[in-house]
Amino acid sequence: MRKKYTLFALGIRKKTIFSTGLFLLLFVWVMAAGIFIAEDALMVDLEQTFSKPGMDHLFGSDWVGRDMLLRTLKGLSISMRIGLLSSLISAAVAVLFGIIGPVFGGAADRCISWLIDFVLSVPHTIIIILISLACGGGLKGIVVGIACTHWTSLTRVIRAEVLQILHVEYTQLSRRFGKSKWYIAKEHMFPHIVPQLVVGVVLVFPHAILHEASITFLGFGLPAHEPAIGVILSESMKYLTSGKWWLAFFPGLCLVLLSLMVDKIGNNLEKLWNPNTAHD
Amino acid sequence: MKREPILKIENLELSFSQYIQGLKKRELTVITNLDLELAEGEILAVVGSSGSGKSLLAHAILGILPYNARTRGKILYKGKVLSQREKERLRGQEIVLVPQSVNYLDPLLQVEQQIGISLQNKTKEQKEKMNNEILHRYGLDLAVKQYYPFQLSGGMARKVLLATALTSSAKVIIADEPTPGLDDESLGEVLKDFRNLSDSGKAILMITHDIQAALKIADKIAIFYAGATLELAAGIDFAHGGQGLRHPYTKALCRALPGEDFEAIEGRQPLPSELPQGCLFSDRCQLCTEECTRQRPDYRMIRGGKARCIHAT
Amino acid sequence: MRLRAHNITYGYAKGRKILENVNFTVEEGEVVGLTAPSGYGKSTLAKILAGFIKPEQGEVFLEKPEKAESGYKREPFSMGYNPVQLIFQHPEKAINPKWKMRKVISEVGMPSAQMLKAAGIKEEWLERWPAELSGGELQRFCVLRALNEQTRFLIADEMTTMLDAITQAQIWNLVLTYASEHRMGVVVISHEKILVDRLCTKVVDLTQM
Repeated sequence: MRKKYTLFALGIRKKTIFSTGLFLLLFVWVMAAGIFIAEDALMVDLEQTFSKPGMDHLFGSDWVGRDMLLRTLKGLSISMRIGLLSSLISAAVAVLFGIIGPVFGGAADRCISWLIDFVLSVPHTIIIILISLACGGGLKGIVVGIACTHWTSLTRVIRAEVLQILHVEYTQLSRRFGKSKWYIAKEHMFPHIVPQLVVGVVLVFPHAILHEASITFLGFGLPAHEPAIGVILSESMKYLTSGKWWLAFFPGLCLVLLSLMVDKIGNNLEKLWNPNTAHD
Repeated sequence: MKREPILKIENLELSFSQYIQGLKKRELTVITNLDLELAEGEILAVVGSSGSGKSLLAHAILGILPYNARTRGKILYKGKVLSQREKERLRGQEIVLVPQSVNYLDPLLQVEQQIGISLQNKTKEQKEKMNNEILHRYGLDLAVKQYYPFQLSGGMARKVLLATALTSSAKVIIADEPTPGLDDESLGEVLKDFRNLSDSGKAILMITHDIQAALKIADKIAIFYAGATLELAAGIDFAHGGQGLRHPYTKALCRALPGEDFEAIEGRQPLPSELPQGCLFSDRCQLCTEECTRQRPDYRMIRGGKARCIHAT
Repeated sequence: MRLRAHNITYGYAKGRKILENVNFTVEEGEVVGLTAPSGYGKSTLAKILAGFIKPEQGEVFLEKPEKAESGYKREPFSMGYNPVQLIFQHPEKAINPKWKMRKVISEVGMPSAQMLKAAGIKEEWLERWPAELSGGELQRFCVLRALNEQTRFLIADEMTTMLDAITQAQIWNLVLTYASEHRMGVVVISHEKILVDRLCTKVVDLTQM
């Protein structure tokens, strides 16, 4: 076969790594941009209220003349911080429960399995709202709420993996070599669950920010003065009927794109780690 | 007169492209030089240590290699080179595989249906009768017909796998490790069946690591080492301490058998990533000369068999 | 010292016993063969001897001869290293695929350079992943891992069944030499009668018990 375009004749693996890298870069950039946007860049400017998207304001401006692009970036950055924090916490819970259950077995395992079923059987949004309210709302409330509801599926995956490894001959041999359960969990099992863990964290992330946005939109999440995406969207509802479409359109689109992007990173990582797809 | 081989493999080479770490990609050659000829009514055993890529030979003939594999060389069936499409048409019809493990059985089919797959164009009664016959022959209880694969013990599963292939009307049967997990009695039964099948004109290619089982039934034995067939010998060549053997590796292999001297030579088979440039056995061979390390020797006829060695007589 | 299995009974399904009142003894330094057709519980007995599964009835224990009398004294198994070690048929499953070979071999303690050489293990293999080595090489690691002073009895369950004859002879020569030097007891489980006859001083047929 003749190679046509040497520049683009990269293997799927290289393309995957390339796009993942690009997404990660974008991710970090949005996060950093949100943090470094100063408060005075979001100044009220009553001469420029409701300007349509254009050269001055790429995403338009709102009812007090704040630039919507900057507000969106700031909002995304806050959402991302929430997403990252809550997916990391739920991953930590998942590792802990996923390993403790099978390794120590008996009552511990039954408790954890019951808890997983319990959390999965109740609608997420309602639990998050309840937990968030109970924790006094705000960023803390949302993070705790999301973390409490999103550890289950990853725990199941890790638990299944650990159960399998527990009955493989090398861990059983390790017991005969006089190694402790703690040693087996740390040395034998942990390396096996790292790929699942990373993929799991990344895949929980879009869930987390979408939940954050929806709950804030419903008014149970972040307070109105935080420029979170949910807040922006809920405010824009008031002006949507009067034809101010850009107030909801751009922030909403960015939210969807960000979720898709992170989801793609997760799928890419899985593709790279899975031995069945890793050799093309 | 020499019979025309039904299946012939000429200089087959098989490699995989693999990522080792990160973006480092490498081409791993698992089969280097594989030649064999299989005639109707003949049993040929390919003997090599497990994990040496023997199973891939079967997969190459049937055209079921993974997507990152690449082959070179020719596979001829009835004198014609097999294309991928031909392989797909022939497999299950004229060429069948007796696979290595239970994992190859459909987990959702009962044994009865499993065996029935290869019994096409038969009425229900005929199928039923043949099913019962074959189960009876392997000493399996008729209740086994209703079992699903996960309910079978290792030995039972092996027999069911054999049964599915043996009932078919194929011309070539490829058996991948058909013997492990069978006790002596069933082993004898299975080997006898192979013999009967080949006597009725079928060609059988038996891929195995078990040289003892191969010696019991095979007409010819091809010795597979580091991805190449090093010698083609008749079973009788292994008698009397392997006096009839040609290649130094086969001689050493014969001496290491527990029924012989049980003496091992030094060293180990080279891995696919560290194959020597010259003769594949050169690093362990006592007869090795400088010429051996320069290039791979040809497969040449010696005393009715073949060997890939310049010193063999 | 000797390893004794006393009145062992075990079954996987209700009502069907694979092992029933089996008694089995191995003296130190002795090489005993264990044969039976498939389905007679060879592997199950091996796992019971090495403590992988508990028998339904009966006991496995070590005994030490008493000086004064001709009787034996029971030695309880400690929680740590099990003096009875089992080698499986498939080394791929007995080695963690995420560990490099250096870590695999040193899980019990790094063997001496002399032992590495005797087992035919090249220094450079220690830096490899298990997937890069073949079954024969992996089995050398598994065997060597069990050959240390703490192991008093070695159970080899079809240890070389999947290997070629030369590797089989190499590994068994290593094990037998070590066993006679260190007075380690060996149980050889194999379906191959010729091999068992070759290796063992005593052969036990499980169907005769």
